[in-house]
Amino acid sequence: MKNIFIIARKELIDALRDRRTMLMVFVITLLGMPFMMVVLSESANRYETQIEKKQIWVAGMRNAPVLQNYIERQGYSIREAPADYEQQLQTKNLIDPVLVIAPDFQDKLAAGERPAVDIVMDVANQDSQTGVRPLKLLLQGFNSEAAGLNLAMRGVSPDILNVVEVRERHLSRSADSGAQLKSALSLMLMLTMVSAGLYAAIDTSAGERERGSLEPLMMTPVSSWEFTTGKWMAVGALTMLVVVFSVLSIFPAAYLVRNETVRIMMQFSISELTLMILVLLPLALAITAVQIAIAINGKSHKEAQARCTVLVVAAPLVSMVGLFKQGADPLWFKWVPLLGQNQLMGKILNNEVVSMADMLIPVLSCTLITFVALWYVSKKLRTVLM
Amino acid sequence: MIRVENLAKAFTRSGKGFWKRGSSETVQAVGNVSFTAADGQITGLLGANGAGKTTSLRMIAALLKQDTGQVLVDGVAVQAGEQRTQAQMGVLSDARGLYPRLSARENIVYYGVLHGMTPDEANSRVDALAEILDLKKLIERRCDGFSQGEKMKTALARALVHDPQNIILDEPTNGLDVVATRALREFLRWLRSPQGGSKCIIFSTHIMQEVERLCDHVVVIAHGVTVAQGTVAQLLEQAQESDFENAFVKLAFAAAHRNAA
Repeated sequence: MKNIFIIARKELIDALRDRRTMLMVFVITLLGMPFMMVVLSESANRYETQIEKKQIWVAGMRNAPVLQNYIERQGYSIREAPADYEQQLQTKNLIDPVLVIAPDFQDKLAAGERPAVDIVMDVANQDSQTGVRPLKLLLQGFNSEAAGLNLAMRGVSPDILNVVEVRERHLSRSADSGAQLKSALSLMLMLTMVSAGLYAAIDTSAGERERGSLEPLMMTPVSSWEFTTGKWMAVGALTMLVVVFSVLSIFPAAYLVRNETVRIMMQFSISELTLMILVLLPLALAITAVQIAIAINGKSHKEAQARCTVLVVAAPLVSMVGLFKQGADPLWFKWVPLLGQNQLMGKILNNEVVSMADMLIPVLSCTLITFVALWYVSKKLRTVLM
Repeated sequence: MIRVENLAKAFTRSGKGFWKRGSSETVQAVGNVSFTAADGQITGLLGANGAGKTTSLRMIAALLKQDTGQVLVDGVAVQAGEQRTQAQMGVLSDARGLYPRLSARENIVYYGVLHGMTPDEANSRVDALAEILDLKKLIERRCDGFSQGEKMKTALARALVHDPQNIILDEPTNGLDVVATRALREFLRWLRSPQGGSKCIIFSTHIMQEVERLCDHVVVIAHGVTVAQGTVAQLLEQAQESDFENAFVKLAFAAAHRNAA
């Protein structure tokens, strides 16, 4: 037992003095979460202002005075689109769709023919797509008003066109961006865990082989099990530290959020954050053990890094499995590391009740994985030298 | 005391099949090595490159499992992958990596503590070894920028920190300059003497001069087999040569020809 702490202490000192490891730790914890929050809040901001600004771009407005009258009555301001609007949409200089009105609009309308208008946008330009729906609604409104007037003039009730009255009631305007934010937060934390201790895990296993220090180490009268546990404890401590700091960095990061909706979502209580940390810690320890187990087979840093990439790629993929299912989560989700934690994180973020059993099942699976990985490493430590 | 009896080890390089290129081949690294290294003696393993010196030493150090034969360290059989005999051994193998981000002292003390010493004991032992190996100036420095010789000395101090009774050195003078080589030789002689603890020292090399100047007992290994052993004088007599290099070539390669025939 004493040996384990001696080994863990040495590995921790070694890792803390390693610039690569510390850079990874600091970049992820200090910048990762705030960066993600700012990006999300800005995108939510843009979406909201675009809906609220009530402004449309039109090419050839003077061809349709009747339509202009209708649009202005709805409280929209009309801006004349630049001549090269197609190009500007493609280069994203213009972020709203453009309504194009043909010169013969008024004549056709008067003659009772159906004049066509075009809504021009670029599918690759995400912002221009958000503006399409308000524009369509506006044109629909004009359509039904004009049609209604025509019918009224002929003595027919306009209601004959509207068999059913459709009304929209939005229960929560922020639900959409909220779900996106929550899954992004969860994903960010998973990625953090997978990459935080990576360098330390590689250095402690493949690094020892590469610099030729594993052989002398194995000539000390200390069991492989003690070495494995000590190394795992050191890297695990580092990863846990990163997890704790990442979760806590949600607090200061909330100050950088300018969007009201996002900011309200980001108001977590201390107990919620503690619960998140408790959910993530067993996973952090299991990931560390698996990383060391993968890296021990590498003869050099480079080889181990290539092997561990599998884990870095797989982790977000596994947590994404949850996005593709429909309806309630299947029972086996709880038992799969990453998926189980993702599910729990979702519950915590949505303020749902988390039961003791919900918490314990992922802990159990993580413990199992940790033991298997550590057993494998302790077998390998001496045999890789033979 | 270390007794090596009929040690043999073959490596199989896998081949055939879809992914593995070429056919598999078996390399007999060590065929039949036997010798006894007594306490208070320096035993030299002498052999050409690839003769099987390092493989033999790795088996003695319990890093490699032998196919046949056995190794007894102070009467206890060595089991590969087990650390029972390792407390009595100080091994400087060809893998002599240090932790670059730790100081020389931290590197050595870490091993001392793993060998069961208290930090205080290990530290005072480091001071003594630093004095002997002329490491005092760099003992507090990180190992990152150490020269080959400095690394070598630090690794040697690390191997000897727990004052082991049996010392195994695999080509310890590699990378050392003349002054350092002389100092090392002096140090080994002192370890052999009763004041130094009458250690049992096994020492592998391919440099004739070193063997002539240092070894009490020489074991000549050629193609994985012990072909001759004895004092330098006995080997000269056996080969009927006055020059030790000629004697070695005669003993090592004549035997190889005999084996081949």
